[in-house]
Amino acid sequence: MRRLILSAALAAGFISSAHAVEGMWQPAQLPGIAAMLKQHGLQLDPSTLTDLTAYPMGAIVSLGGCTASFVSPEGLVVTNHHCGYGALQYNSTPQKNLIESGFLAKTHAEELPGSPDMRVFVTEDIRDVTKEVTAKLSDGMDPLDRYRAIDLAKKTLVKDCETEGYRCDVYTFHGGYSYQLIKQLEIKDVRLVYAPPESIGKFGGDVDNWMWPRHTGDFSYLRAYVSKDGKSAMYAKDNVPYHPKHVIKINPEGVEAGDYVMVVGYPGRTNRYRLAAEAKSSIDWVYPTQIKIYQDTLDIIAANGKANPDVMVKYASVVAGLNNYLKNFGGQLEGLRRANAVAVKQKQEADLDAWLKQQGGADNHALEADIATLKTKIAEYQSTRERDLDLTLLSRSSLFASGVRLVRLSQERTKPDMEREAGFQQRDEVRIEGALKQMERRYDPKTDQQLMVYALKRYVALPKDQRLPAMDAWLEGTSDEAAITAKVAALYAGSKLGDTADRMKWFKADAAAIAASDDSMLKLAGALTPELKKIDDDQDTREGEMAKLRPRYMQAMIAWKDSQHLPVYPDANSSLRVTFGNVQGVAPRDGVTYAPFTTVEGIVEKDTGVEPFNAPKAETDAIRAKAFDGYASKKQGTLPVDFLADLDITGGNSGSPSLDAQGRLVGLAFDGNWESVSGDWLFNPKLNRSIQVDVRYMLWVMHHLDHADNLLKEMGVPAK
Amino acid sequence: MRISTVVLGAAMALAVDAKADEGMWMPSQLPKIDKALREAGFKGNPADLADLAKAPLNAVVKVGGATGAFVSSDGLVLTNHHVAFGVIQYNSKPDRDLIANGFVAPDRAGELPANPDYRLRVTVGFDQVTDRVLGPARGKTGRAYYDAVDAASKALVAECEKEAGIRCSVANMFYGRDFYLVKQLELRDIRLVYAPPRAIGNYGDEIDNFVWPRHAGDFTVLRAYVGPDGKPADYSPQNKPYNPPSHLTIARGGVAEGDFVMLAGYPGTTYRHRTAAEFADQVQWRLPVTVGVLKQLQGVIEDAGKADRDAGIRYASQLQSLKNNMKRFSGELEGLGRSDAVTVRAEDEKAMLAWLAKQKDGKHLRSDIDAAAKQIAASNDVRERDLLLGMIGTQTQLMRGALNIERLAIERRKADADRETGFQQRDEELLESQLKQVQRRYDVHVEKSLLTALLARYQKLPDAQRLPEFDKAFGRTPAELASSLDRIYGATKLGDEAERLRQFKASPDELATSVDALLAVARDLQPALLRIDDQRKSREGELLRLRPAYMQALIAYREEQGRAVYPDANSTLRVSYGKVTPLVARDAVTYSPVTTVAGIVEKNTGKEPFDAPKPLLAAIKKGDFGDYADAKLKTMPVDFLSNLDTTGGNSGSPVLNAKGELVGLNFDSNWEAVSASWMYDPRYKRAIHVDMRYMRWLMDKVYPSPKLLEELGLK
Repeated sequence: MRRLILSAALAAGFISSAHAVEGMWQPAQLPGIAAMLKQHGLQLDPSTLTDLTAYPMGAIVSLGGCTASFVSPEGLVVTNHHCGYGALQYNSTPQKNLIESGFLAKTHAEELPGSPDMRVFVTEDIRDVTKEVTAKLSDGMDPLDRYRAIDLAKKTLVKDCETEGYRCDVYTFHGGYSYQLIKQLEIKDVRLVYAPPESIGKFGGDVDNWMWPRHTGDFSYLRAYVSKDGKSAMYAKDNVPYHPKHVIKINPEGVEAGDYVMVVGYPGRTNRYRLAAEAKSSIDWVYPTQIKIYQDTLDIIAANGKANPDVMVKYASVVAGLNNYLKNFGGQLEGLRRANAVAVKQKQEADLDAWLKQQGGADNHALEADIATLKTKIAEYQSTRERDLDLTLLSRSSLFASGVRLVRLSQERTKPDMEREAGFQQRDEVRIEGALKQMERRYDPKTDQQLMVYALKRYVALPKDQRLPAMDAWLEGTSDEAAITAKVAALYAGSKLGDTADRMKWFKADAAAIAASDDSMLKLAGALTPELKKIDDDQDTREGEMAKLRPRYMQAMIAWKDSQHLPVYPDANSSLRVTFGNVQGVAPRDGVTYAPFTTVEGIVEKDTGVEPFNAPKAETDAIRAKAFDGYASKKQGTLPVDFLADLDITGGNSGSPSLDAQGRLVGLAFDGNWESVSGDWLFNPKLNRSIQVDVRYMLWVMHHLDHADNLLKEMGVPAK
Repeated sequence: MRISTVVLGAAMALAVDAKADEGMWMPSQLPKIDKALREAGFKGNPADLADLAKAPLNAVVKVGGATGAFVSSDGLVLTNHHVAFGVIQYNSKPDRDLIANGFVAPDRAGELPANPDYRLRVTVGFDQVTDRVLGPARGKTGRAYYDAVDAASKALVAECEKEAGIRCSVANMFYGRDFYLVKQLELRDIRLVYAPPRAIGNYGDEIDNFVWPRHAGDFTVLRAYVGPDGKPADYSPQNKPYNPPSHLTIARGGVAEGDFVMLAGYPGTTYRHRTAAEFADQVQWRLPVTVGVLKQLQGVIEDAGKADRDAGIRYASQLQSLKNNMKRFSGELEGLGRSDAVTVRAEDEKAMLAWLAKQKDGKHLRSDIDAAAKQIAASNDVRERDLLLGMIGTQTQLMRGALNIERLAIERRKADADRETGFQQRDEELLESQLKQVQRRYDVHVEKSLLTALLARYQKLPDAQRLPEFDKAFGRTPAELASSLDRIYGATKLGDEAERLRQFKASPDELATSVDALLAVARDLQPALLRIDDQRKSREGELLRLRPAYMQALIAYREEQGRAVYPDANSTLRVSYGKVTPLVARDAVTYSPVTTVAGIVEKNTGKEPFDAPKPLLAAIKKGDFGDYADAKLKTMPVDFLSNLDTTGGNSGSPVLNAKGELVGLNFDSNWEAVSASWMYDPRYKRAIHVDMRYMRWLMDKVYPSPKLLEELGLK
């Protein structure tokens, strides 16, 4: 199995490190790499990891964007502070700022309901459905028909699967090479139990984001509630805690340098098998453009926040997200350049092509031809990238997005459920309603208008053939900022969608009523919808084409790797994955070595008293007094805070439990180091590291600083 | 420094190296610390290093304001690229860009003469003259003491410089306790022999400045020439290479972590033996207040630049320098805080005074020490005012020019020898060129804004700090200040260069009749400025008289503990020793002590300052490092880090191994050590050196000069 390591490293053009393992493995793949797992130190039988309803997999859940674990039979869930951040923000006001102060419920009754769109998804079943999805596809099919056939097959599968309180989704692997149907219990009543103050949970803030050394206590606790009869239900006072089948055991001793560690979670998306041309477009256009847009958006919010502090509270989540991505994009650019990603991918494509040619035969020639077509199509799609971006930007205006969503929903509702556009089916209505409702806590009319003006300024610079006639008709030829601003102001003045009751009224209204509405935003949205649908169709056509071509590329790739006896893991797609490796530091550049653990002494070093380096005084006092209450590492002689491991993770893995060789929780993954930011495209075993908050620090903060002993007891952690 | 490290260790709760390698030793002190030197790993005889006018230390020379060393019997001198940068620039033309391309002299005839004012000084004498300097001053106090020391020093220098080609100076050791007459042979024909391209010599430039890990090949080779008679001479094709009394040998091996290293050079200024009160003043008042004022001035210039692009350009270099100073001062403040310098120094001083109280002559010293403390405290009474007035003299253009013109008029009425330093005949050329550069660096609106910022602060000072002349000129309220500045700048013609130079050349009598508003104000302010000058000199005279008591107590106290005391740096030749040392910069971050060429490739963006030349990148890729590669790292080393005690002025200092062979060339410090001019913290003080293996490899494989290698004894 050593060949995998070597070859992965060679492919990326790096010197191999003996202990790094690339790969976000599907649980089912683990028995196939059992020897490697053992070699790295796993003590469990790998086959126990393939049963998603057994320990430990059965205790690991998705929050939809983050990962979490059940840690008590009473439905207590541990995840990152930044994953529970929305619940903190939802319950905060300028007068009672839970983000700042932290929060602890001493009893179940004190727990606070999270925002209405918070979810805990418990995976109960996974089934391969490739045959069902591809049954009606044929080679000569029109791309849009292909897309629709796949879409219909997926929806049918989902519909047949879903029962009350369950959510099913078809996950696409290798761009359409295989499909899986995943069934999850959808828990809708999620409450905030405990979060340390921001000065611990977000210590270092955006300055330290993506950085090592790190000193963040990025953890918080939620609780899953169900109805009295044990079913999934929206928040209700008399709901009861959910009783999970499995609960992750805690190892309060933690891990040390070199120890085996694995992370189980729901990584969102990677681009490991994207083509060189796609990497190049990202480097030359996507990231630089996004960086400018995100910065401008932050500037707009900051300017309004300066005048009105309430804006800052409303947009706190948005700002945190924008900052996060802004830094991420910078890191992607730097990493892609440093790794010479385009050249590496070009070489890989050339090697694959050469191998196919060498193999010969009609099948391989057909693969060659399809890969060539794939490259042509990718180049073609890039011609409308600016327009596609502008439409996304327009949706940053909550009022505009709500209008478009309401119109679209009302029209989709006139169709049979199965024919509705994905995202607008019956099953999605609760989510749409939640989003429309929570807008009231995240909406400032002035900021919202400015975001729309910003998007329109880019839109009016598009070439004529990419513009939307209905949008141009509304704009009436305005092109300078002042005129656009006036147009948007009039648009907002003529709309009542800023009012929650009004939005809820339209949510319930039918298509005819909405079409007859004189609300200016609904009118604009109504006029635009046919054109937006047309763009959606174009998009679907592309996806139909891609659904045919990408699997062909992957088919060739898998065959090629197979000829070298190498397993291929699929790109991340928000399905459950396992990554394993060892606790270890990193030498990020010549002359610099990072240790695998940070210690509380580093908190004192970084502490300036000014956000984001404003550790609570009680904490720095306790550190100076070495009041570690038995939680310190004996080996290190002090209390560790965060640790590094050579694990392959990405966005979506946040909150994932880090498990030791016996499957016990020793930390929570919450970030990657700067060098791993571009890991979405290329994994570099020498430089990529995941960052985990250490269980010993979590327990110490809970016990010594926040007195959350009720939770320690609930988790069965022995009192110190 | 055992005491300070123990206290430090306790305060910071971190382990420290008990054998902290602090110290910038006078060569004559080395036999005294013989044991410590040998224990540290020195293989030679410390007694051989005792005389800086003899081999091998007389191979260490002062060049272009920094340090260099003779490395061949035909006068080859090795120094930093940044020290010789002026020479490289002077010889560059659009069609022969030596900065970009570097330079390899084809033969001796092809060596290029330096700019005519470039000098190299070889120390030939270093004699104690304490009695001759202090004799005339004894029994005097204050200003008279200052003047007596000044006059005696000037006389010694004049007598010494009678010999042709010799430059002399009087060095003050231990703040007035000892004086030495330094006699140096001054060579005036210096030529460029070998320089790497800028993208090697200054790889990383400002971004990497003060930063480790570093990857600059900061070295250049020059050659000193003398006249056919062997005497110093201006450049002439007939000149011949100078044969130095000794030269250093470049090592064939390299260095590794833990190896003994020592360094000889001319460190500029340190404040290690300043009193606890001065430490407190620096940390608690001077650094934060200075940063505050500089930040305000930065804001003024930036705002003006936004409104008026032309003004932005005119003040670009002043803005850059404000930012640099702010960064430096902030770093110093941060470092002194990290080292808890104020407490450490205060406790050390307290222990010294307690010890002193038990000594026989303790009372006598104590009374001088207390008197010195009073002088220091008194200067604190007017420190706000002095800081602000000082900045008027450095941060304005037209105002500074007018003040200088008026001061010069006063000095011109005196005999040249009696004139104030800086206003003698030899200084007039510099003053005139300052008035000329104003043309490109002045904008009336910005200057008024800068003065408003400074004088508004002045107006808020308590009465005791204010000067009637200033109050009269600028009023007591912001409104009066605004109207007086409008009036003054509205009625001055000094903005015109011809007018400025005409007034500069005018006789004192002519000038006295000038009605120019700015000159009139500058004239009215002179009595106040002269008074302040006088007060400052009285204070300095008193401190010159009293501080030796403090130093004497400190030296005796340290000796009691079995430790020697080195004098604070004062641009005289010093020796430091230590070892190649990694740096634990902060929690979980360790810097290894040797960087490699891999780092050059990593940092390279292709854009200045990370634009390594193609031949270098190709050579790294080729990996033909031969014997130059580090045995352990298995690749080519570039720079290395040591815990040697250095400060500004140590640039170009040769770094020697235990056998006295040249293994590196000092060129910078790490950011964490910016505060080391006040306190040596063994945890953070590091010096950065270019590895001689890298230099030899470049000379052999990348920009080859076989003849040079042969002359250096490396072929």
